Amino acid sequence: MRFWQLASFGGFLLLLPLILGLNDYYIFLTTLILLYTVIVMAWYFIGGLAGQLDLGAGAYHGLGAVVTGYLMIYYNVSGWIGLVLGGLAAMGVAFIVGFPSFRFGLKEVWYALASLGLVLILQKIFLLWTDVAGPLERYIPFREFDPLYMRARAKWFYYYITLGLLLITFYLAHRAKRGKLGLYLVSIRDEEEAAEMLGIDTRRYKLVALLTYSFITAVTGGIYASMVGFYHPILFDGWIGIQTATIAIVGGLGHFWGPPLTSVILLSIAEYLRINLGGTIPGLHQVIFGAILITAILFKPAGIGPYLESLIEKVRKR
Amino acid sequence: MNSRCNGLTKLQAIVVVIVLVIGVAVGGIFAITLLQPTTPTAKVEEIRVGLVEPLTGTYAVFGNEAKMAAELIVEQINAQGGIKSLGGAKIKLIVEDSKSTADGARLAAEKLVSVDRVNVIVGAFISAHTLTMLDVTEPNKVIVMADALVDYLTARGFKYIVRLPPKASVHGATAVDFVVGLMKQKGEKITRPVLVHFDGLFGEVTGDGVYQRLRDLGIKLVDRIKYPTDITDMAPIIERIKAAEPDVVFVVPYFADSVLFAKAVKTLGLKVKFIAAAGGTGLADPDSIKAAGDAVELMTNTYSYDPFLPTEYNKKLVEDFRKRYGKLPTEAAGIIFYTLWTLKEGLELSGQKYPQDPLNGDNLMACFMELDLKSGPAAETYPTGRIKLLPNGDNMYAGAVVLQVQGGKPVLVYPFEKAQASAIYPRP
Amino acid sequence: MDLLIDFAISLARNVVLGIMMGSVYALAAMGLALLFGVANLINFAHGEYVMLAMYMAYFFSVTLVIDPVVSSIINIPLFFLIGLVTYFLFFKRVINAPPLSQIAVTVGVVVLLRNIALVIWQAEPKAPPFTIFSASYEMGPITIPLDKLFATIISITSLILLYLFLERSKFGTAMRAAADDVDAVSMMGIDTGRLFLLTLGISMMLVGLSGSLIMMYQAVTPTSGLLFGLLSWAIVALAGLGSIRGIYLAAVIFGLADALASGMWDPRGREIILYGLFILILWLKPRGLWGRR
Repeated sequence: MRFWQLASFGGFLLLLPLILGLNDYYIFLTTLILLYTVIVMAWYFIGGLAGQLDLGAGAYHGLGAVVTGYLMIYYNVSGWIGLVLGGLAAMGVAFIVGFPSFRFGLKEVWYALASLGLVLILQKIFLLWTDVAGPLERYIPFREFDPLYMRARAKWFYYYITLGLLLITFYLAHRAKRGKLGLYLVSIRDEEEAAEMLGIDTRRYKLVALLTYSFITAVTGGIYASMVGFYHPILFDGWIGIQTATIAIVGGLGHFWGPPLTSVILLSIAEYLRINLGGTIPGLHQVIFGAILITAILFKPAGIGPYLESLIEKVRKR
Repeated sequence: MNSRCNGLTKLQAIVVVIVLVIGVAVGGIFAITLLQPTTPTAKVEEIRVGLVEPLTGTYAVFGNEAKMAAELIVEQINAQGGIKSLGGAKIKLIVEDSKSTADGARLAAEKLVSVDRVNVIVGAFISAHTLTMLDVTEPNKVIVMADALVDYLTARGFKYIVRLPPKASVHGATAVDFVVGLMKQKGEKITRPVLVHFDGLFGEVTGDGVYQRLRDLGIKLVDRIKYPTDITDMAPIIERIKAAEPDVVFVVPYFADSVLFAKAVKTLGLKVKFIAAAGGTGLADPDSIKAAGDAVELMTNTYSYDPFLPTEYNKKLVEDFRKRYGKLPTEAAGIIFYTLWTLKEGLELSGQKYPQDPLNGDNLMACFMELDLKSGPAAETYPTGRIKLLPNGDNMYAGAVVLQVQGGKPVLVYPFEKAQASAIYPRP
Repeated sequence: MDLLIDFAISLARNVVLGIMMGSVYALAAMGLALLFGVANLINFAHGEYVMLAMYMAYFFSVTLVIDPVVSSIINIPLFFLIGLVTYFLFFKRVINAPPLSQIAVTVGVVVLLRNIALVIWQAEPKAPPFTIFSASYEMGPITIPLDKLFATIISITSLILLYLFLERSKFGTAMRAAADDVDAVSMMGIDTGRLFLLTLGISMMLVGLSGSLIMMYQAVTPTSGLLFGLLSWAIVALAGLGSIRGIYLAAVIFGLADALASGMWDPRGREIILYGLFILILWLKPRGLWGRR
């Protein structure tokens, strides 16, 4: 039963570009939604499991974009290699910042603020680092269809890359949740001191969560840069982190499928509102989006995922 | 949820299935895109023109002025009976907001090309944003009529681009020529110029234009100061200008930063002989005067359009624009004026020469190349009065003018022979 | 030698600017410190309120044709009201909740406020066209802009008033006591709900005033909130939750870092210095320099 549900869902995702009539614009939007959903899913490691309210997604996203784009433009290196190297670079930065942060016991609001600060610091560093990024936009050479170089005019190419990444992220998160890592991280999240007394190396596991998250987020950045065909320090955007965290909270902090589901639904609503309202009153769609977010946080503090789960339980019991 | 092991193996099975289906789907889609035939439509009912402008965000002032101008001109063209050679086909304007970001412009272009299927896109005012659109438009043979100024828009081998206003470097050079000429009248020379500009693409290129013209004249810059576009406090910049002890300050601002700059100059009492901007954005247009008050008095800027051009059509147009929107059209609106009229001329010609497929990108582009406009609304609104394209899409007869704020109003002061009033020099 | 003198002059100019900027930052940070210290409420949206105050100052100075400084007369009571409204809408539900829920709700407020600003003011940077104080006073080679000087004076005066309020008044004493131990205060028979409400009100009044002052010499965009929010938190982190004097000193340190970074190095590099400093403080001095707890 579950197999067929998943298979039909997978089939739907696979055939989505055809359903959208191969219209580049709609596939582009869908891919963007999926990309952000990947970040939300990656946030599961650091936020959902390890319980650290990280707002630094923009830092890793931007880093992935810059590294991938830079290698593609100046060294003619395939984007695929760029994605990996970008991910590794993000892991490096995450380590440099994360190690002392966990060492000195940074948590809660201070951790959140430090991660947000990191985004802005990196943005300005790359703005000043004129050999690599700022202050001008750098354009990735156009290719009609070059899968090895990871650049194509048709948007379905990026759609499938993103879909693949989403599946991998799901798989990794699923494994982490079921495995030792998840167990340790959840115990750290819920009762850090108790976990420490049980002999769990809390710093190490938090760091593992952070590094995984930063790697995946950087890969989304690389895909994004190749898809829009340019990169700029502005991609180090603090807003991505804030949006990711809010969506994850609305979806249910620590819940497995709540946040990605919420992400797809809310971002689709946001795009729909943008297309329909963006022309008449620019920005109105974002206010509605914000209002939906805050209402959900205030009235369903546990999140949409757990709420749906309890609904399903009720239906089953009947 | 209860059968853990089972779930995992099924997941693996699904992955295998998915990989297989991806292969099939990718192959299928690829075949479909390749086989899709392109059939030219014989009868043209309307010409869809996309307009991508920054309607919100940092550059909204320009985008909104451009939108006003475009709506006015399209109305005029359609009221005159549309494109006559295409059986009176009307122009349909589809406006998209670039949100003042490069991705926003890109997304807008993507929509215009694949959903609205436009024939021509006008935009996106900011050069860096225009470049991201070309990635979408070039392969689809959609012509971009750029109202952005950076030189290399037309120097990167793009085939479907037309850019009528003078290039950024021309603006930079014009600012220098103007100040040099002005000082010559008083028997003076620039000795210690300082260049200040924001660090975006347009600021860099226009700044380079200023720098190069000064260098050609054998004048050395004392300092070149860059600041971020989203700067919120100009005081440190003014302090640095002061430290350089300049006689003339050249500045390339956008809108909000120009307001801050002017106010900081006033507050901190920067004393120099002259402050001249280049690039047509900020300081000497009605919006800046409204936002910065008397702080912009006597400052100048170079513009791609001359609102005081004494041709009959231009006078009437400026009057219409004023009546409708309550302000003088300057840079953003002016470029749209002659760009859309040139589009109209191009379409007329294409209708005559290629009646079977007039909106095809190649055909339309060939017609633009053939145009040599010396009269008519396009030429009557262009500063030099003539439009003829070079093979790269630039206007051969491009030229800029200089406006100075005098008594709270912009006044034409350069070229000297056309000037309404002589430029006031030096600053008190 | 000349070079050395030039450097000294430039240094002196930026130090003066930095002290003045820091004084205004102190006001915004004080609002945050009060709320965090007394009510134990993590207001992640603090910067967004400052942003809103800046926009209101702009709005009043354009529509009513008054100076942004004068707009504080309207801004202060207005933000007291806004404080009350937000308390009942959002904060009341989370005042005793764990930090993560507080952050969650206030991050929601960030999203909402920022987008409201985006709708109303369209993300264009806005600055009022004039202020009476658009002149400067020359003191040798050092120029002192009157707008910033005036903002500094108002800012310090308000901090002194706040100090007197906390030291002398009944509510002030209760607020200070609550900062040390909330339970003790509620046992003393003081209604903590009202106390928190008042704290939020005062915090918002400080925000309103600081917004008006900042608008004398700055432009505002919807992203300004992020900047002032981080800056306020950084100042609180450096000072610790102890005294007004601590906050003021920390604010001046950040003001100096800001002015020196943009004046002597590159205006684009100021965030690197400011937030780099912030993260270092968090690592090395998590309780701040003058913190009591």
